[in-house]
Amino acid sequence: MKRIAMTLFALSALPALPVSAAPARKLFADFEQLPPEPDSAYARTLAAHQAEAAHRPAQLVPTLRQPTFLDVDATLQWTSANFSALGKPKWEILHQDITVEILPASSELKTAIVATVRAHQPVDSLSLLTMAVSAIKVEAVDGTPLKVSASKMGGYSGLSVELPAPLTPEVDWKLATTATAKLNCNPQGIGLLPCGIGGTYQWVTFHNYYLTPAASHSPFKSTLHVVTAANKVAAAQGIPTGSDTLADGRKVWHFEQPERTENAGFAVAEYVQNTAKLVNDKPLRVFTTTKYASSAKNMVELATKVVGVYSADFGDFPWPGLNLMQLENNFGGGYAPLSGIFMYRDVYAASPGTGYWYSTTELTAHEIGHQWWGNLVEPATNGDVALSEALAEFSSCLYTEKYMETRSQIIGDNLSYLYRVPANEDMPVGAQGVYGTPSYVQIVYHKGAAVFEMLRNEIGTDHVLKSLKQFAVEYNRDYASLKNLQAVAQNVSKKDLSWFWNQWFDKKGAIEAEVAGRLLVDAEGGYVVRLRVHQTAAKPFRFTVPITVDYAALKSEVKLVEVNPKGEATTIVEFAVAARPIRVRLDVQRSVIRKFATGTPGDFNLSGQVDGADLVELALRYGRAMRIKAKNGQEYFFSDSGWNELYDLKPDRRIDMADVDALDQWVGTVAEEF
Amino acid sequence: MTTSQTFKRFAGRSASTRLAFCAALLAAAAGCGQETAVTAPVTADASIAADVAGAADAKGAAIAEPKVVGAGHSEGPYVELSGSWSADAQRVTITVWAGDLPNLLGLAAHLVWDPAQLELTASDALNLTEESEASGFAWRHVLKAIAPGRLTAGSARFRSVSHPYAYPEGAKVSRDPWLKLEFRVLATGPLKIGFDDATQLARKAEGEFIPVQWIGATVEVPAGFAIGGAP
Repeated sequence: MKRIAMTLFALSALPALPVSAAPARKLFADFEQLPPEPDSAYARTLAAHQAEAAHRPAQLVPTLRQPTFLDVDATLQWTSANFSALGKPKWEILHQDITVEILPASSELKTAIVATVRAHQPVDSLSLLTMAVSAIKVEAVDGTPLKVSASKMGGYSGLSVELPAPLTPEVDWKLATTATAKLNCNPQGIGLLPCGIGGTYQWVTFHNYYLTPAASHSPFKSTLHVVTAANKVAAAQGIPTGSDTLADGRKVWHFEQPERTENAGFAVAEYVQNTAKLVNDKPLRVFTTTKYASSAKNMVELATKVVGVYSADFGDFPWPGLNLMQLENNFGGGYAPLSGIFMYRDVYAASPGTGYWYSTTELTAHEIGHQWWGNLVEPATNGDVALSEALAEFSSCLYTEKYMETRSQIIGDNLSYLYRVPANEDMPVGAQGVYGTPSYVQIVYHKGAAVFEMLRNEIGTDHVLKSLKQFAVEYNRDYASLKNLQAVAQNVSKKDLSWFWNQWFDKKGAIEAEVAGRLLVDAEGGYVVRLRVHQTAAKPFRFTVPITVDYAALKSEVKLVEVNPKGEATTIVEFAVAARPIRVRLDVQRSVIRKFATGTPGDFNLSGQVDGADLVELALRYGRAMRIKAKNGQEYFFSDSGWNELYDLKPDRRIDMADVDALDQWVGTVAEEF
Repeated sequence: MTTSQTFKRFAGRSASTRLAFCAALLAAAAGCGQETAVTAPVTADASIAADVAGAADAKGAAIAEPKVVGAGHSEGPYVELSGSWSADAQRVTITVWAGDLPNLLGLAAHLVWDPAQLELTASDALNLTEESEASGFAWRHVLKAIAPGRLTAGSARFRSVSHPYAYPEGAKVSRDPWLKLEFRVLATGPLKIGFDDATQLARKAEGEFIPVQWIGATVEVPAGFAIGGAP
């Protein structure tokens, strides 16, 4: 910026009243962990995300938490289609042919699996994990019994199978297991088997595996056969390949999963299908009960549109088709294995134009996002789970911003992190142990999405989308890390983003800053806005903030202004403006994870002076709140997309008459010189 | 209509003087809301000067008193000034009117004048619509002389109770007095009182700006008029 002779416009004769002379004031309200307002949109979103998060892998005993296969030989070259990040194991399960049947009367799940095993080195015993089974039998596919010892491992059973002879490398061999597992269904329980055995819907979802040689990352192809009563229909991810009728009248429903994946599930009900064509004529099947068959047409349209949008943004829809399955309401949210999505009942009843449609769209767009983020590209480690959840949520936010024309989802996510995570539960988005914090959803889903939103400020939306598309190409059917995405984004944007990744994925916290403004005129009579950003954090944040400058005659412009403190608490930034502004507004669309307070208290419009215009600005924000009191006196967290803490002059998370009263003492105050 | 909570007094005015100030306004034919809207340039309060006691020069000839001349507004939202000379108070009294404002949430501006010519001695902000506990709304005002010759004024309509489900709501303002000002005359000639362009704003409850005619006025102080007045 050119050097300019600054004078304080119009008020230059006035002595600046130093803010430091003012009584010390509190900038932000104290943290208070309030429960979400029941039945609010935020409560629904949080519940949906928490329900989905319940499908995360259970916390296994430490000795079984290997990052990849149990027996990886890093020196071997891995040549299977993709999943190159796995390294090559000594042996693996390539395919599982799975037959399942829920026995509602006894709350049991019967499973018969024929696993195709391939060794890459001589192996004479196999260590396997499966669900916690009450009875198991393992034999070679020719019927030869195999000696097996089982041990309980948390919610799992660890199996050690002695082989009759060492496996010959690169020659496929099969083993068969039959097992019975006692189901103790909790739709949102943590562990292998979230499940439900209700009168209408019966279902089991498996996060990661049926039978696996590893605690994580052992993708396999499969065929699934679900045995049901004669009047029931089974639904699952993959390609439905028909059904057979057993001699006793029961039915068997067949599904082919041609892709290697670890995530699966099935559901049984008196389902009917709505069908449509996705992009490239791939089939969409929506399974609901008859009662919801008509309203589910809205879901068909929505899913078709979302898949189309994502296909354009992130690359072609990668799977042979997509199946959506209706479960009971206490499922709470969604779960999205590869090419399938389970969601709770009422989203299939929603219709456009209703309030519930927005929540439905958010959830559906999030779950469809997982077809790319979490399935096509899988997180390499627990610390990379943002690649699944944060990107799915961010994708959904992009969708609702563009096609629902509202930013309330991303703003809600931003506020959810800022106002719902106590300091002692905060962790970096990319922390390996982030699963362990009670604020996992607010950190990974919500802050994570807001972090990707901030990336739009740094490299632009086009580059963000281009990076995601490129990322999906490079890590197609593979495991990836957050660092891998950083590399792609840097390559696309030609910008060093190491500071951004370090600040937002490797470190916790959010921006807290006082911002003061002054309006200056340069030597040529042009106007310049100068801002002072004072951060209190030990390591001040670097960020780019959109600043809206409003002029007379109803004209506005938005400027992206970088605040780069370089370790200093106070940063001065300035920019030329086209004319004398009426007001200057910070981050109107809340695209930064921040709390701002006025550096010149009450100077909401950053004019450099507290005056009548600030009262009018305050009136526009009056009533916005992050807390709400119910009739019974109980206070709840309230997610208010119109919230702006800048106006909470007497900080209590409400913009109320106390703030109006507080403004009076500052009227006439002029920003101190900086 | 009740007066605002903010009333600033200058130059040692007493409470009784203030009452006299208001009484003088009420007595004025065009004062306190009795004026009709003008749609063409008019001389505001032109008739008032004749109603008040005149001064006389040394030879006993009548000397004209100050009068306030405003340009008048055209059709559409406006904020304009009218005023008169109060012989009792020895002050120029100014009323700032707001009118034709639909769904007004708030308005603000800086009034500016030459402090060498006029001295602000009293100011008051008024509610633009009748509000009460029953209506559930109240006007709040900002009114402060922030520099010689500069007064910041702002008024906004707030709900009595703040609640996230209760959004701001504007009011229709037909023609109502917004500000009452009183000046001591320090000079003769045309003395301008106006609004600083860059500080003028009026907003609807949805945040939309309302294009408003901000119309100042001139205090015409005849040569030979005894400037000043009671302190």
